Amino acid sequence: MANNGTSPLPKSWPIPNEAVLGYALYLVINATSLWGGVFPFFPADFHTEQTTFAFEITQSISFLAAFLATAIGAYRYPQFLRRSLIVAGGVPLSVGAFCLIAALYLPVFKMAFVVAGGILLGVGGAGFSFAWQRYFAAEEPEAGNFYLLSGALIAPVIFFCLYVVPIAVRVYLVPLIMVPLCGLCAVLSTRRIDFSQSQFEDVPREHPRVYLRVIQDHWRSALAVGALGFASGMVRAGAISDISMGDATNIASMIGTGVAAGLMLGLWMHRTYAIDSERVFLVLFPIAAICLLAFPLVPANHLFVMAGIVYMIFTFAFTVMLLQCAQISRDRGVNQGFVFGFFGSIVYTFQNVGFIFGYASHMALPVSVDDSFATALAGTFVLALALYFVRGGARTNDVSASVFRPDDVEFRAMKSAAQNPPESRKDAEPDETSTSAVKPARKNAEIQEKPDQQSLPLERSVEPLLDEPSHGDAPKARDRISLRCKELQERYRLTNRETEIMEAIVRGNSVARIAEIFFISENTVRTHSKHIYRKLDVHRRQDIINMIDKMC
Amino acid sequence: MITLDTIIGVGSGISHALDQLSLALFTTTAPSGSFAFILLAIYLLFAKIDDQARRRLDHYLVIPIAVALVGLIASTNHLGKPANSLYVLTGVGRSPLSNEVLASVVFAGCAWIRWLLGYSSRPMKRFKPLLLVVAAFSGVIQIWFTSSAYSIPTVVSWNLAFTQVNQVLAAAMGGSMLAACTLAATKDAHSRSFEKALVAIAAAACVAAIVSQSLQYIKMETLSSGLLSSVASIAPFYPICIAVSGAIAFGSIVLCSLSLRKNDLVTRRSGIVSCALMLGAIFIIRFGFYALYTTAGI
Repeated sequence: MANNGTSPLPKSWPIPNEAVLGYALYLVINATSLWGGVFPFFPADFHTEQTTFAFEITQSISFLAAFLATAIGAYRYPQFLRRSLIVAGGVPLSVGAFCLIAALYLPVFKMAFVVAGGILLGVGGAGFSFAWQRYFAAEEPEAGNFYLLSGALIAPVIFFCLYVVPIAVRVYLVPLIMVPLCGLCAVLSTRRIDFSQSQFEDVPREHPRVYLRVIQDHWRSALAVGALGFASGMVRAGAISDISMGDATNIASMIGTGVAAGLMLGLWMHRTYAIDSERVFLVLFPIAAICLLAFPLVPANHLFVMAGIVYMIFTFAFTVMLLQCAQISRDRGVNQGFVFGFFGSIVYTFQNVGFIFGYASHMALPVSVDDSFATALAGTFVLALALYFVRGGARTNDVSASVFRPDDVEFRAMKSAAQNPPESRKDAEPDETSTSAVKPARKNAEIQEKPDQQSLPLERSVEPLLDEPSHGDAPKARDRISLRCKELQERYRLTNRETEIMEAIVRGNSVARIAEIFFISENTVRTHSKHIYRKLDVHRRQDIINMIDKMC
Repeated sequence: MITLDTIIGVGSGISHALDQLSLALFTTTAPSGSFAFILLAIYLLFAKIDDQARRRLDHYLVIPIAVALVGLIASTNHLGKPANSLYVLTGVGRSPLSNEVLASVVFAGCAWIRWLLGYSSRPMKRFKPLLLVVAAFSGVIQIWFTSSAYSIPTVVSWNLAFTQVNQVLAAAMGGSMLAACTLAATKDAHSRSFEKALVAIAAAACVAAIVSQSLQYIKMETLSSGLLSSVASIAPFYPICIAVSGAIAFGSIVLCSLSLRKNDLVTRRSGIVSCALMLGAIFIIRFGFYALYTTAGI
């Protein structure tokens, strides 16, 4: 992908490349393979309530188990994930689909085939999911995001084209044509991955604090998407007894994916913006809550509309989560299997709990009681709980003075004021390994670089360098260096993280110091530095400093 | 003279043809895709091509395979439900339909696997050519079984030697143009003699097809059935189909030839347009063929 101010669109635009096509195929396979998506293509007498429940519970649990195993495996055995992800995904996906087809022809073994199919499709779906996420995380940010969103945009088109295919062969298309084609696209895309990047080279057990920091900083994001996943799981439970709900959620998931991608791409063409899961959750929360609360009020034959909207919202948030996972891997040099596995484990745990809860309430409640009340109550409760944590919970730990807003009721710790009077503050020791020409600023920066002792979110820990940024926004500049770094960011399309590291470089920090400030490994700092040098077309940190000095 | 019998006959013919549109599409595209694959396989096996061009042509083999698959998928429209898809194969050996479907599936499967292997980083210097030969041979079988599926004793209008001959000639016409289109898509400079040979095959097949179709119609005018004194009256527009189809087919060949003459190769645009015209021409004659459906009882 071209940089230095040129468009991020790939040369083949608008013809999709293999990454875009392959990811679109994966999303369609996902929609038709997971959560019984292929069931509408089977005869009506095939999907009994028992069959559907058996398939969906085995498939969803195996999917979650695969995510958990991958997150743990990525931490303990990172090199393992570099091999055979595509085969590990493609083979079970195909075999699983054939198991369902076999159930059609061998009714005596129907349940066994359905359960086996569910397990294989769950494992296969997860494998392909990780393979694609690995690819997008390995690409340059703009290329990776563009390909992911473009694939998500064309996936609904391919999905709806399936309905043109005669129903007699629709179920065969997935394992025979789509899975091999998706696998091929994944292989071709994987060949382009640069495995020397820090996110692949990193040995997680050598930097546990980096991985712990990722969990600390992003568990709320995962929780936010998980809460929406809980609601979607309950909706899926409703589909067991009502086929129209299943159809609606499948179609809604595709539309949600397309809408999310289309909106983000459309905005990207004309505006610069930042996005994350928490912010998206805050926007989507009211809509999801209203839909859930409307469940008991909507006539039964229109419930599928509410169900579809809830699923669409979840898919929207999930798409943003995928982008965020890739960005975290890039920015922090963290194994993308760990990040995606961590997020996915939380989200799918919630989704499975929602599914089990929804089904259990359907079975346990008396016939006279409408189980949509249980759906509304539980779903809204979980969403509200997530909102509470996303907004910061009830944190009472000390915060620095700069985060007080004009009308806040302030409580400044009396104890810390007594123990640390201003005149006793010590100067920080100078960094002996730095060689910056900006000496006065360097000393000032050294004092301010000392990370806050109370574990604040990452953005606040670099607060002395930059003003307190809001969620995901570009950090606000405080001095001339910051302003010029921002200008370079705009001119050379640097990411926020690259800009932060560039500023740290310019301020004379060593690689080790930068790694400490940002809670990343030194290898990651070097990777970001390489990207910065390449985008700015320079070879040494002094060149960057000279560029800053020359700017008026 | 237009009689009530004629009106009923024509109505019945057109109605039957419309009901069999999916089969008309299948018999247009599947044999053409197979024939194109066979021609390209011969080219890959025997022509002197540099490695990069060979690799690119390997990748573009997806074009004739996709065309064949479109027809195969379309033909399943009349099966009704997924369970019937495999049951249709239970008549292999005794049912022409089962033989036709099996042969098409085997060809599609072999060609598909061969295409996927074209992306392998391993050279597979023996296995790839072997699989190419197997896939091409299965394409020959597919064309044979597809063309002989209509030799049904009870369907007097179809149970003629011309039926099978016309189908094979249509495969040659469509396959040649499709092969030329595939070569053009690679944008590589391929053997000019081979491209000329493709155009020549298409032209010869087109002339032979027009003659054969005309002879078939003349023969049908002498045949009768239970209700019709002349079987040909069920589709009096068949000669028009022959003429229109022939004209479009020739237009396709002329366009391809002009491109070859002017540019020393078939350009991508002219390749696509020629191929589309030729397949369209074949579809028209296949539509007319299905309109000729007349059993001994009608």
